[in-house]
Amino acid sequence: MSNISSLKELHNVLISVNKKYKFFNNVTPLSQLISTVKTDSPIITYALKDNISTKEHPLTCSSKILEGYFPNYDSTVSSLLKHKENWVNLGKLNLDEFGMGSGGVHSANGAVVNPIYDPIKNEVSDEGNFQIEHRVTGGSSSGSAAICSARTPLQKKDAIFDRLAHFALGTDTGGSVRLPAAWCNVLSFKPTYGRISRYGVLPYAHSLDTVGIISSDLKIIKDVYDILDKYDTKDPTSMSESIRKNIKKTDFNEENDVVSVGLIKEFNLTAIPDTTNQILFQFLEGMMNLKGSFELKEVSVKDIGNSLPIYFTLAPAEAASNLARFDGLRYGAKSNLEKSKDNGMFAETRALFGEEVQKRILLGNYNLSSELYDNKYKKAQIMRTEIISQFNDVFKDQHPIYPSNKMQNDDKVDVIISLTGNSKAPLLKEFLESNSHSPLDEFCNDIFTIPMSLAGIPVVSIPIKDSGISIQISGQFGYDDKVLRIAKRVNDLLL
Amino acid sequence: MFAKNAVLFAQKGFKLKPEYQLKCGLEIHTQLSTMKKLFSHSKNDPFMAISTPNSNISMFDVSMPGTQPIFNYETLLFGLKLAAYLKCKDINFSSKFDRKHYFYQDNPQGYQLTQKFDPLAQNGSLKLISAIDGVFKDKNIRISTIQLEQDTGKSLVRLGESNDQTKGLIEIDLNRNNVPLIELVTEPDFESVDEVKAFLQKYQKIVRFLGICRGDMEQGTLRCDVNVNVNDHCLVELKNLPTTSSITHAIQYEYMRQIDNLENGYKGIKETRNWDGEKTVSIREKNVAVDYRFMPDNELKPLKISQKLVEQVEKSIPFDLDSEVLKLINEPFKLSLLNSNKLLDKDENDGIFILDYYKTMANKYLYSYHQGNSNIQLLNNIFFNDILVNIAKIPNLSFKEFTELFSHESVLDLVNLINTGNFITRPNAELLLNFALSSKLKNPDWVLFVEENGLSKISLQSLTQEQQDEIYRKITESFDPTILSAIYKKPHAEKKKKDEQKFEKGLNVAIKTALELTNNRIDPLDLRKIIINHL
Repeated sequence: MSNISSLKELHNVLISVNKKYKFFNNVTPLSQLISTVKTDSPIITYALKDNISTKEHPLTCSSKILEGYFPNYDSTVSSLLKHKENWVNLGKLNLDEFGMGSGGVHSANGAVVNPIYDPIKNEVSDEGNFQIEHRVTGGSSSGSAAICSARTPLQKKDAIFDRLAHFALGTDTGGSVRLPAAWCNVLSFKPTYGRISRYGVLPYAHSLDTVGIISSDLKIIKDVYDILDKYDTKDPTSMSESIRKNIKKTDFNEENDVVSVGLIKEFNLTAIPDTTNQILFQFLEGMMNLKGSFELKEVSVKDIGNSLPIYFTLAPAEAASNLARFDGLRYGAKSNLEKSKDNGMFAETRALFGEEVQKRILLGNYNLSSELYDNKYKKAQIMRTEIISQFNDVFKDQHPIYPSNKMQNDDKVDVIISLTGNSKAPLLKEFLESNSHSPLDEFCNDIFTIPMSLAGIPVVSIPIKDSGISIQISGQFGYDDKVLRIAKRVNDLLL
Repeated sequence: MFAKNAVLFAQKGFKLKPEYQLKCGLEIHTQLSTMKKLFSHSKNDPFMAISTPNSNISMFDVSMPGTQPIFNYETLLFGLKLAAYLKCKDINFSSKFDRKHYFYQDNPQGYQLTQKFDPLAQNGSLKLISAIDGVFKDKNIRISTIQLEQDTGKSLVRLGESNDQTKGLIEIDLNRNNVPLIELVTEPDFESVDEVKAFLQKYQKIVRFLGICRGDMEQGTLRCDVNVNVNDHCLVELKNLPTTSSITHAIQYEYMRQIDNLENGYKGIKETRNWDGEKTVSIREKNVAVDYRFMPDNELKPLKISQKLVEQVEKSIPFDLDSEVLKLINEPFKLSLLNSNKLLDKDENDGIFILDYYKTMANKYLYSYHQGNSNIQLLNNIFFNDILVNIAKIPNLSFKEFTELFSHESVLDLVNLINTGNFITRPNAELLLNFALSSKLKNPDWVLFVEENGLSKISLQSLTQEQQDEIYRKITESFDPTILSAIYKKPHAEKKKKDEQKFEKGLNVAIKTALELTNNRIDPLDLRKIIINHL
């Protein structure tokens, strides 16, 4: 089949399944898809989380407050991908509103359906089928994980790829790429903070936000990363050319060496379901059986237990600040109830934010209020630097910005391995119930992913076969290539 | 009832009462004249773009989601210049930006980037000197902080006919948004209104001299808030003070208002008050003020600077204005304060350049290039009252062009000619100079010019009595000397001050007439003698 007719088939599928699965906030029109295909060489399909700006699509962040907003400019990541021949952007993907959530349920466009437990069929599926257990996709990059996981209903001869897309970009602030990827059984990569430009990416918590890559194929992740891993003058937090160069000089290929792998002793395994632990131990056993390849060590990140409270002090505070610009005056929706009055707080327009977003803005402003600032925000910042330095001491490689004072010794490791989530994707019903009982419970899903976000270090998350459980491989700040190489060795082992 | 009295008081000679001590501190916002804005590449020129709203804006300036601040390092140099000039003891080698949150229509980010926790510089000072700044006694004003921050946009309420649907609509112009500001905060060291006025004038000269700000309140490049209290009671912050006179009047009003409160047993409250042109009006109490929820902006890197950079900036400042003024108003230059300020105001006529020209020329004159004796007052007179005034009047003549036409010696030759006393009169020298400047003559040969045009001076001694009588007769053809004569003949005891004034005035008219009649060739002092002799 020609590229054009394959795209037509795919486009039809996307439009028809989206009503139920809600993967996309906006599917690129067919004419536009076709116009990006210039040659007969193979097509690569991708889509972007709908908090990444593109010239061609509206940007919604799955929020009512951005209704009608057209960015009219390309984020740096979008323009880098556009330049690839025959790479086709299928559209903008659903997410938890402004990236806030871990289930993919907080969206003005509805919750994304996890395609593993409710696979796409050729015929129209029976909505009332009791056999189907509705499970969440994970969030906030819910649509990104789901389309990389969803298998195409098309015949092999008609399909471009066996999934709906080769890859998708998401954003990861505390686990927003890794958790949905784990719950949808696909691979994901959260690079070092500052590696990929955030220009044009809507900030949630700007000191933690990273652009991440999801795919069913690690090779594709690596290829995409190589394209996006560029210094950007438009992003003041972009890693400088000189630091990139210095890391490259010290990141040698360890192919024939034994990779030392750390297990963090402070991760409390007793709170993890037995079934999950069993899967993890089996996997670790498998690694150890490959003689001369991996060695396991226990490492300590003493204060890792503080990660969650640090995160929900800092992230909502930054979010409250970053979302302060939505007043309905220059872009997005403006409430009809808004009247000009002296206090100018734009309360009616800002009521268009969803419940979860409002909750986090309130929490963030509370953490920043002048009486609490020292004891909340400032304290959390100090505790965050302690976690950074404790991670730092674990790795053999030197942190390019904050070199470790601790002497080089045998206890140090190349990478750390840990779980991505503590169970497979929860049932939608249970997830919503738990959320309504205890609003902070949702943060707990990210308990294994948040520490690496605080440290800004690179992580690859790899599913363990079809278990619905994934492991994370993380390395020193800036050593993304090394983490990707070791991830490949681990992934090969699992295949 | 009280408000009226206070205004009245402020307008008629205001005086501090010894039992009530006034204390003020200032917060000055200085708009920096950098090429670009603080965090974007947009043009920084909000005043010139006033008729084209929202023309100098970038995506960052309108706060498009996903855009980020890119720091303009030129602003850091400007800030360091000011910090160095004000002798800040603590220059921060790693200052940082913070976000100050509040909602307002002309604040598109929902926060302002400022330097709350780690400002650029602290602990400076500026000395007010009585001989220069007109204060009663010398006074050191301590500067507590200097910080960089963003300016906001502007909101304008649309005017129009009452049937116009758009009347009252709030229009937002973001040309000024993200323009760099320095916020300077002083300690509460001011004890009189004169000190505040003197400080503002001095500060204005400094920012112009450093070339970091246009330094005018009318265009809003300098804006000042004043903290006022009396006898250390509750602090009141005064805002909306667009001119120096509004600052003066507002402080005076506030002083009287607080005294009135105290005398009625009311201690007052900590609050912010606006000046409405007549009185101060409370806008909000400080204890119910907005919580700005300050937060470090960790997207922006600390502004790392080195000791070496600070030293370079210090070296780039040519001199200290006060020491230069003191040099100019004393021996040997003996300039007036006004003229020495003219030489140092960088904004008008490229001041520093003129200063150099003047000093080299004056030194040549004083120490070598004169005949017999030097008369610095004459040189100052010619330079400031004739040359500079004429340059300003003559179209298309800049000071720089003047320096290409007139060597120092050329000016001094003329001064020396006048100074000999018998070659040319002062009025003819003026005419000659004016002609040479407007014809853009290069280094004119004054002697030749005078001789060829018959402008040489006629001395009193060379005139016969008949010739003097003839001159007087011609004067009286167009001038009635009766009144002059009457006053002149009055017995000394009967002469009043008023008479003398009237006499001088009349005499000057007569001299002016005489100068015209004699083509300026007779010295005005000689003409005076001729007229008086004939009364």
